[in-house]
Order: sequence, then C-alpha cells, then structure tokens
Amino acid sequence: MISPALLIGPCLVAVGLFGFLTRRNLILMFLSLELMLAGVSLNFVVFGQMHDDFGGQVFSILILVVAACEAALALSLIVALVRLRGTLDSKAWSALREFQFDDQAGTGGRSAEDRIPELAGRAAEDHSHFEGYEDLPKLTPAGLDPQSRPVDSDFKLPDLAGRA
Amino acid sequence: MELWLTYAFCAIAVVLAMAFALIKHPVHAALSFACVVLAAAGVYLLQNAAFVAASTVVVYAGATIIIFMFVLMFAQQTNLLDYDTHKQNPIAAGVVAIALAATVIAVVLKEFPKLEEQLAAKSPVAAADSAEIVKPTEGDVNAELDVKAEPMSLKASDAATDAETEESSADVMSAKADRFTVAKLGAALYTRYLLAIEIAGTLLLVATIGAVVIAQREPKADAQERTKS
Repeated sequence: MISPALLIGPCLVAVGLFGFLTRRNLILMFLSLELMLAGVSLNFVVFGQMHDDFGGQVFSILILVVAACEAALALSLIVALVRLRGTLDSKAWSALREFQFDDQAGTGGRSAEDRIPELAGRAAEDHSHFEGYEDLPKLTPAGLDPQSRPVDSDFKLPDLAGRA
Repeated sequence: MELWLTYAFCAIAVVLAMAFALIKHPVHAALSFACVVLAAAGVYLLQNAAFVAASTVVVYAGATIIIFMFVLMFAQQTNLLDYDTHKQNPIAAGVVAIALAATVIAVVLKEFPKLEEQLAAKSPVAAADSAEIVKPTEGDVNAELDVKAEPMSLKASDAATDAETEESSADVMSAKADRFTVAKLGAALYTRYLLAIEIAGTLLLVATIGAVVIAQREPKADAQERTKS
C-alpha cells in the first residue's frame, strides 16, 4: 500500500513553490525554499526505506547539509542587503529590470515587441533611472541602438566604420 | 497504529504548510514552518530514520528557524508592512503549484504498483537465502559493511492463523527497525558514502567562510561611520 508520506512530499514542494512565488519578504522566500527541500528529503527517506537501503537516508542528510549551507549564505546576503536598503522587500532590488517595460496599462493589448519604438523613445527621454547614481558611469538602456538614438551615456561605440 | 500516526503527522504537515504559505505575519509563518519540520521529523521516526529525524529537528527547527527569527526581528518593525500583506500573483502561482503537485502525485500513483512488483520480485529470493531473522551483535557492525541492509527475511510461517500472521508482521517490523539502526547508518556513512560525507564537510567549511566574508562590514565603511559620528 502506498505510504501517505510519499504523497505529502510533492504537496510540501508545491506549497513551498507557491510561497516562493507569492512572498515578497526575503526571509520567508528562503523559508519556502527550505520547505521544498524538506518535501524532497521526505520522499528520499520513504523510497530508501522501501528499497531496504541506506541511500535514501544518506541523501537526505546531504540535503540537510546543503540546506544549512544555503541558510548561512542566504542570511549573510540578506543582512548585507538589509544594511544597504533597510528593508526585507524583494522589490527593493529590481533596479536592473527593463524599466521602460514597466506599465502595462494603456497598451491597447499590443505586445512589448510591437511597442519597442515607442518604448525606446520614452527610454531615451527618461533619465529617472540615473537619479541617485550620478557618480556611476551611464550605459545606454537595453534595447536601444546607441547610434540611431544617442542617449546621455558615458558609453561610446568605437567608430568601426571610420577605422575600416 | 503506526499507519495512523503517519497519517496524523502527514495531515499536520500539510495543514501547517498551507498555513505557512498563507499567514501574513512573518514570525507566525516561521513558527508554522518549524511545526511542519517537527511533523516531518515524526514521519522520519516512523520510517526508522531516527538519525535523520534528530538532525532535522536540530538543524531546521533549531538553528535555521532561530537564526532566521533573529534576522527577521533585526530587520523588521513590529507592524505589518505592505510587502507582507500583499502577495504577488497569487492566482498564477497557485495554478503552477497545484499543477506541479498533481503531476508528481499522478506519476507516483501510476508508477507505484510497478515498483511494488519489482520489490516483491526481489524479496522472495532474499527470503529463501536466510530463513531466519539474523540479529547482528554490536561487534560485527564492521563485519557487515555491505551497506544494503541485509535483505528482508521472512519467517517461514507454517500456520496461517490470524494471531501468528500478526506476530510475524510485527517481527518483520522489528526486524526492519533492527536493520536501520543509527550505528549501521554511521557504518554506511563512513564506508560506502565516505566521499560524499567528506565533500559535504568541505561544502560546510566553504559556506562558513563565504558567509563570514559576505556579512563582514567593509573596513572603509566603518571608518566613514566613525568620522561621521
């Protein structure tokens, strides 16, 4: 007869996945990861027991080791991040996203690809993403041709045509 | 009895895991995660994995949760913040999670009879080899370095009365518990799985060093703070 422990393993993994996708608190996201690992190692132990083998238990001990390492590294990363931003919100770390693809409202159902010219034009005029980073070198926003749309940027393409 | 206990622990684990995913207060969520881990440790115990159960309780419910709590309280104000009360994309995430669980459970249910047949085909041969339950003495833990705990040996049951079958199934259970002792797990860990354990130890060392380096304040920042104050 099938052991109920074999069925709750996948359930724990799914709940952990749900938690990881929906939570915005960094610490709870990591706890969700740990929940997924716990579900997997539960199944390892049950299957190992069925096969009359220590392999399952050994593997779940190794999973425990990996989880402990992950927790240590994650905590030190979180402490470093909290020192910089003062919050546990994962959205505080979205600075590298494609900012011009932000708002989906008023797009009239067009896909992002169709809107590239419009978005590129907006990106060229929008310098808000440079605020607070004035001392850093500025790069052209992604998705723009720097030669056809020169942007206020420190990055200059080498003049390949002239050299050839 | 054992089966009922397993059902109870599994139910507790699943219910508390749901609570963990849905509770808004982060500290309460972390506590319910600790309870999920305790229930999982109960299931381990019922599966004769005493060492795994104990180390899970110590590492997860002890160390991990406590340290996460420290950071949580270090970084968080007492009142609930916007990022705790608002979930992002709960419907899409729920659909993905339910689809994942349903797929895995369907595969397990479909393949399980085959696995049982394979195991049943294997065990009679083994049972024929050893007609009696061999109870190893403590001394020969080293002698039986074959990590595969010795094959399940069923007592030849000549009588088919209910009482005797019950007794023999209890014998099988206790024989299984005998074959999965912590001493034998240790023997297995330091013989067949020696390399894996050494690598795991090295991994822990590297992670410790990495954690210390990452969490270190830079000396420059310290000096700046001192000049500010």
